[in-house]
Amino acid sequence: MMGAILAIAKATYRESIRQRVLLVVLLLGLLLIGVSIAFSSLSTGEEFRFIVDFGLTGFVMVGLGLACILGGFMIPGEIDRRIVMTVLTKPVSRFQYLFGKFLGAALVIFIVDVLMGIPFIAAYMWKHPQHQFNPVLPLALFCMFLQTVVLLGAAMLLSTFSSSSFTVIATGFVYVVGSVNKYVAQLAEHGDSRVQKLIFGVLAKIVPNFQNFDLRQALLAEMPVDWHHIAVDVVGYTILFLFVVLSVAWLFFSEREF
Amino acid sequence: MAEAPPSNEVVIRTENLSKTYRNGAEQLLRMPGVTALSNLNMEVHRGEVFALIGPNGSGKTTTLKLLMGLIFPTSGEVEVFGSDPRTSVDVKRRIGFMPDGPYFYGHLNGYELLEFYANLLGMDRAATKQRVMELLEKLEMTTRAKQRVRTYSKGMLQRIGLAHALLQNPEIIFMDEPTSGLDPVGTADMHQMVRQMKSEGKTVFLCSHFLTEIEDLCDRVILLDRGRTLQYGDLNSLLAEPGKMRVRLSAVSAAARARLLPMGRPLAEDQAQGNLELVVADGTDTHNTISTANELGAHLDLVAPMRRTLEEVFMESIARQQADAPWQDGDRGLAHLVEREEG
Amino acid sequence: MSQRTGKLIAWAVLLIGIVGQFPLQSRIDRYRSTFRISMYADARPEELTQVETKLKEMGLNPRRGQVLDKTGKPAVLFIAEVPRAEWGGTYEKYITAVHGVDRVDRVVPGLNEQGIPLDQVQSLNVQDVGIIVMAALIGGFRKSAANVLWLQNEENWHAGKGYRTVPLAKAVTLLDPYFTEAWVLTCWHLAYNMSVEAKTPDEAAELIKTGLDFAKGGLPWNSTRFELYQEIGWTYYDKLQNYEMAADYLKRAVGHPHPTFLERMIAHAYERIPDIDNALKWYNISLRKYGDKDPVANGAVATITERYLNAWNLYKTGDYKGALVKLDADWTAALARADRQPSDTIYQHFRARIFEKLAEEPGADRTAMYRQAFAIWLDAAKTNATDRLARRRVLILADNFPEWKSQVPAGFNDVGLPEKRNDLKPEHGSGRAAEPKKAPDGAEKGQKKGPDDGHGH
Ligand SMILES: Nc1ncnc2c1ncn2[C@@H]1O[C@H](COP(=O)(O)OP(=O)(O)OP(=O)(O)O)[C@@H](O)[C@H]1O
Ligand SMILES: [Mg+2]
Repeated sequence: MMGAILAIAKATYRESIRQRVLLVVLLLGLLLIGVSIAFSSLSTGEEFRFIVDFGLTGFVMVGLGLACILGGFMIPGEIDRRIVMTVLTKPVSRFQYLFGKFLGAALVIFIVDVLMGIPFIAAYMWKHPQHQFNPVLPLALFCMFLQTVVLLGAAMLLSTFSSSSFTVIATGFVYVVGSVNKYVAQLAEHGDSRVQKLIFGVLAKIVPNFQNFDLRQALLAEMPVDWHHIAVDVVGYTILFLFVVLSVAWLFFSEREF
Repeated sequence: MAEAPPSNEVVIRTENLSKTYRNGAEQLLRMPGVTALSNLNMEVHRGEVFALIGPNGSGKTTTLKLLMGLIFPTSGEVEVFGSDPRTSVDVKRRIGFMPDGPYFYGHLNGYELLEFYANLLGMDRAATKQRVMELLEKLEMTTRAKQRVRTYSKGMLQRIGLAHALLQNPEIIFMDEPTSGLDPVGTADMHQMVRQMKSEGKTVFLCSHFLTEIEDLCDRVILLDRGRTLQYGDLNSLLAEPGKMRVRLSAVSAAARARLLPMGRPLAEDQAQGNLELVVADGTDTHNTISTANELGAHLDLVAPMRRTLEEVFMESIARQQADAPWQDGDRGLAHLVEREEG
Repeated sequence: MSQRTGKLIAWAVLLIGIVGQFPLQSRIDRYRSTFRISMYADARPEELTQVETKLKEMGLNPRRGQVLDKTGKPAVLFIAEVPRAEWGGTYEKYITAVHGVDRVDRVVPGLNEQGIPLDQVQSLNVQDVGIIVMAALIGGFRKSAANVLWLQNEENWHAGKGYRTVPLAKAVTLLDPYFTEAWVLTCWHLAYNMSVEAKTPDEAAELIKTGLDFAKGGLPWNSTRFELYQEIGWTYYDKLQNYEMAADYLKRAVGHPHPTFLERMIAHAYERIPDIDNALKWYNISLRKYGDKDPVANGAVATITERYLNAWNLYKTGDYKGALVKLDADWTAALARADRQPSDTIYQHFRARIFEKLAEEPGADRTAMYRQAFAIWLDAAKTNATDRLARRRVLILADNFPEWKSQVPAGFNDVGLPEKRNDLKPEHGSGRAAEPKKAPDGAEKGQKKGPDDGHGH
């Protein structure tokens, strides 16, 4: 059971990291961090804050890009190229295939995040007045990873029943709504009409709340964050959300014809 | 290697198997869609080479996909080794599939690719290595093992496709157009492979529209046209026409022609050259035909028991089918006009 | 596993996922909505309990945690859960918990609060909405977007498009309310550059008021840094000569890491009110903190002591007549000793205040005494064009005694805050600071009033 999942994950990972587009995304991310170091002198005295802000944005953007590329093109691509037929005619269930793909993509995201995270943390410590390491940094980056994984799950779900281009657009939409989830919820409360309230209310409920993954404020204010808040609440939230998207994705995928 | 005789064990069975493709809107509006296969009934026996024959768009690939659970029947039943391929993962351990014009992870090399499929089968490292090397050897791909799959030629892709299908040493191997895109040497190699698999006792289920190759290879066939079964059965009995002889004559004058034609069914004719080929019942009729030809100065070139080519059978069946039940306009929409190379 | 069991499991997992999210989300909200106050490592236990008690009075139940302060030393962190319904901008009321406490490092209103109150979101103009949407689109780019806009702002300014400052600054601070510089510079720009270019004094006054209001709007997010308090305090001091308010805000500025001149500035504000006790107190604080080598503070302490302290002590006991005599005597003596004419602003202000007090004495000749005060204020205002405190007193007195109006020079407008004019009624004494007896806790009172100040209009 696990063997096939891991084999698919490994192949996904191997195939993905050799794709040039991924390298481009990674370089873009590193470039953003580099730019943030260069521009940080604009905000004198607060350089490490600027780096946090800009750098985390780099993570968000790269994450969004990865989720769209991996989630949106991975499975539809394999269906198009009929690779999926060769895999599913091996003793592999559709769930194993889906989950293996997901794990492989998540691994790719993790590696990209680590590759970006090291220079990011180094830049932060370099620019920090006391060259202090902030233990919230790795937590914040881990949360960024979780957020990207959630987006990936959403993208994969979308890709099981729609085209790649729709998936990319819809994933972007999910990201935007998820980032302003609080305001969407407020609009639902204070909406003008019933219809508006209903639409915003449903949106706020089904789209993940990406503010849950945002530790920017804690980093900017140099406030501590309990690690068990991350380990229990945020990871728990991620897992539960993945439960939802992956099971729905599987329900769609098990009906799919190739 | 002694050829293992086909047994009577049924490994694949379909019953009134039909497939209609409908996209989302068509499903929603309950529109007719494209019927790719209707009421297919067949049984495939262990150890035989079974062929699915038909022109482009006749439903060959559709049938294969149904047999492997990649798509789901609209109605009817499929059984492979007695169970539903859609839900049974175990069945897949016993079958191998070589798709039409296979596509793989282009960024992996040949070895990695086969290693991946071996991992899917749960093979351990040592077994994987041994099996993959063995297959690469067998398919003469060893030198290409470290080359990325995206740089492979069509023939190499077909070979790696076959290798991946053979990894688990399957009992049944499904091949979709195994020789499409191959040169004569490659085609001959592929035929050799099929014969070898048969000699190893494997069941081979292949699809093709190259009628000549099938004729030499397979034991039993099914003829499909636009999803409907035209002919089904033992190849030899399909081709043979018992009690008939084929008489080929040359230098046939117009007068001779007028006398000879009513004596049998013309199979081929070239008036300018004075060639004529007739099918006549054996015994007295044959004797009469030959003596008449002799009398009228025609030369006798060949007298042989009648056996049609597959192509002839095929053309004939289609002609008959159309005479019996011509497709109505709109019956299949325009889909069948767009002949697709790959299915 | 059959197809059906698979589906059943999928539905079950789906259900667990959906149902499980709600309690987790509320756990996260609760954790993220905590109001956090971090102290400096050297905060005294009384200061800690003071904050704790205030938070408790506000109905919050703070727990203590640990944090590194700005100097990198471990310090106390208060974490208080704020009822969810109260979020959306109203948390600034909790910030009063740290007012008057010196060793507060940072205040963070919840880890997820970017600081846009809902009511502000709803009354946004098109441009702001556009920016918010844009900011949301580029993904938590808020601080960086604010930086970019701010650069644009400076460009506008140098290109003579100063009128764009306020809307742009509003957008900038909306995006990043912790961007202190934006609040500070916009206030300065309005109160200094634009008010100077104003066509009428009224317009100038209006611009100063706009600047102050704008800056006060930024306090909820910048209440743990000195810059904004200093800017507001200094604007009150320099532009409006409203020394009570100036002292109020400057005192809040020194609660956080700040430059060394601030304490002296507070003392200067107090001596001009005049509030001699507090002036001396702050000069001494400055001397204690930065060493007694400071010649300005040392000199100020000496002159205040010899010129005004004696009179002040009498003034405090209510002996205004005695205070007047003592003040004149000490001043004459000082004049005799000095080699050149010293600045007489404090002397004049003090003297006028004494006459205003005398006017309130029972059985006093109210008109005559006010007449004296009026003459002194008028003199001060005429000799020093920037003495708006004197100018304001002149106008207030003239309002109460219309027959003196003819003496007020033309164009002698009140460019102070309009509300101050209504506050100060000669019949009720001379405004807040004219009750020096209560001066020490008057500061306390002023501080509490501070935050309300900007909301009164
Ligand atoms: N996914 C699909 N959706 C709609 N119609 C389809 C789909 N797949 C196949 N068809 C249609 O079904 C019919 C049968 O297709 P199929 O691929 O089975 O033919 P084939 O016999 O394999 O042809 P070829 O020799 O070209 O490979 C064709 O008319 C084809 O257009
Ligand atoms: Mg086909």
